[in-house]
Amino acid sequence: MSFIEINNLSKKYYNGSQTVNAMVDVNISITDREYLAVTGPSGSGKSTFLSLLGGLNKPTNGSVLIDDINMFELTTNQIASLRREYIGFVFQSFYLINYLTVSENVLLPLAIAGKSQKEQFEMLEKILEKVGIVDKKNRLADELSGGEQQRVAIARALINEPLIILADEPTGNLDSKTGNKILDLFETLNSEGKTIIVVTHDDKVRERTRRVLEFSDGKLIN
Amino acid sequence: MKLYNISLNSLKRKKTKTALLIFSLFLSVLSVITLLILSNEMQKNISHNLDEYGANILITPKTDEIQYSYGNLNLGSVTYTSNNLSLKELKNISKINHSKNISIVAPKLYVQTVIDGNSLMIAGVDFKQEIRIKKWWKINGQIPGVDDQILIGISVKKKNNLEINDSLLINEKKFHIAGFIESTGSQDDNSVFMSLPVTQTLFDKPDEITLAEVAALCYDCPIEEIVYQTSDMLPGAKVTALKQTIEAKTTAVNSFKKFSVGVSSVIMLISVLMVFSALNSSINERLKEIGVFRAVGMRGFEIVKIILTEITIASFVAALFASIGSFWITRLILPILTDAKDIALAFDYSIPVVAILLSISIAAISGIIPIYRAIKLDPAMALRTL
Repeated sequence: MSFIEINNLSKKYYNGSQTVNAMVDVNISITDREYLAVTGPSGSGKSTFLSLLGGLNKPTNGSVLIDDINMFELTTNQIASLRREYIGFVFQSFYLINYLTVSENVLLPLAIAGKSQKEQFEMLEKILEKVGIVDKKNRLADELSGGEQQRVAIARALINEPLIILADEPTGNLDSKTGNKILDLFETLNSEGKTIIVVTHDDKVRERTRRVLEFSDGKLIN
Repeated sequence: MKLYNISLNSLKRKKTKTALLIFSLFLSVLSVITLLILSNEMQKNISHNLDEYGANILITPKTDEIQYSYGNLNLGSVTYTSNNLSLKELKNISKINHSKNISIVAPKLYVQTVIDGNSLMIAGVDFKQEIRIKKWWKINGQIPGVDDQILIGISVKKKNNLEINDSLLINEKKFHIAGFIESTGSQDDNSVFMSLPVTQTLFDKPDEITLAEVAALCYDCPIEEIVYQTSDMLPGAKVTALKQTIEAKTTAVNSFKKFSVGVSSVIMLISVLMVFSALNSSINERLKEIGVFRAVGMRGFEIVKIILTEITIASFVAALFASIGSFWITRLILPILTDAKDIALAFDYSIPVVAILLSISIAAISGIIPIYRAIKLDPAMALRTL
């Protein structure tokens, strides 16, 4: 049974008199605990697909159902709540908040979750240990190396225990050794039950996933 | 971690931005509060000066009127003084509830006399009070300091060809002219002024006065109330508010008030624009951050909470500094503006409260558009801005 159901998903951008078809009539079913790669050349619609899937963007047409909830029938605030519950984002540029420490960055999703200090502390310790940056927890985000920053970003994506991880070029800014460690971590998370969708044009990343979706000109071609 | 921790850390760790926001709020609140205190103090000062510039209350003996008629034919009326006013009775004015508003009481005894065939008006006055209430008097010579000295009006001087230090025989008593008053265009030009007790003794009118001019400070109390209380305290007297004087004062003070409100509004507008600019650039620099907040599942109002907490804390700090700053600036400037050396300006504890409210209002008004932009921001767009 599909966990994520994407039906006739289209997205158009309007640039003056020009219309850009960033996503054209995409239909996909993704089952629970899948680990899949989204590939394609630059401008093929990979990132648009990921932002639509995560509810960061609204489609021109079509629907995205997560756990039978039609995301785009919800209000903006309801989509935010759904995202908090189901989805963790990992970005190529990490997008950490520079003025917050590692712990504070990781705890961001919990700041609105109504968890007690004790619960937050326990969850934080557990997740930092999992991604291997316990010793850096009091450092400011911009004092860390690229690999460490990506681990913080992954910890932040995992802290509220979402079922889906959406990663946009997660190894794009990392050297191959650090990139491999991140991919190892993704494999572990997938084996623990997370559905992982990785946007990438790196073959090494693609090879480690179990299914590949290939986009070209906004269309799903493979 | 709570949302306010994000706000606090943002303020604490982005020191330059925080300092800029607090400084722009500080300048705004400082200018508005200083202007408000200054204009309020100046209004009081202007009002005080105008109140003391001539009388605004006149106390005269009560008069009665008798109507004469023959059958249905009205023959007119005769007014007569039913009581004389005494100095002793006048002193009761200090017992009214608003006695602290009574600034000057200038009693007078007018007596008509003839000297060398010329009719003259003698005015017995308390020189100290008279000089205070008639600030427009320009005296050549001196103000009488001893009992046998007098002050004469310009017409008396010219008609009798008198000079300073000349002597004048009034009711068989010799007086020396201490000085003369330059033309006032009033009955003072035709009067001879001498000490009130001397006049009462000379004309055998012990303790008697004809009228009293009163300058009441009406900034924080309606003149009608003072008139009412004085009438109550002086049952034998007719107490009248001099409407023309009061209206002139009210018009002058109101004009100043309107001017102050106008200037304050302009400063407030400039302040709002200044803070708006600071907040707007701050939001522009935080697009990525807002995108991240959205990506981790924060709702619009939670992002607003973070930004508003920062603004409120910054406003609070700015307001406290502005309260202290405005107090000291006012202390320095007010004596220069009002020409007064003895201004004892006490710190008003309502100022920090007003400053905080003002600061938060300026920040809130200035923040409406940037905050609205922040919550309406497309998260994908926000993350793409990097």
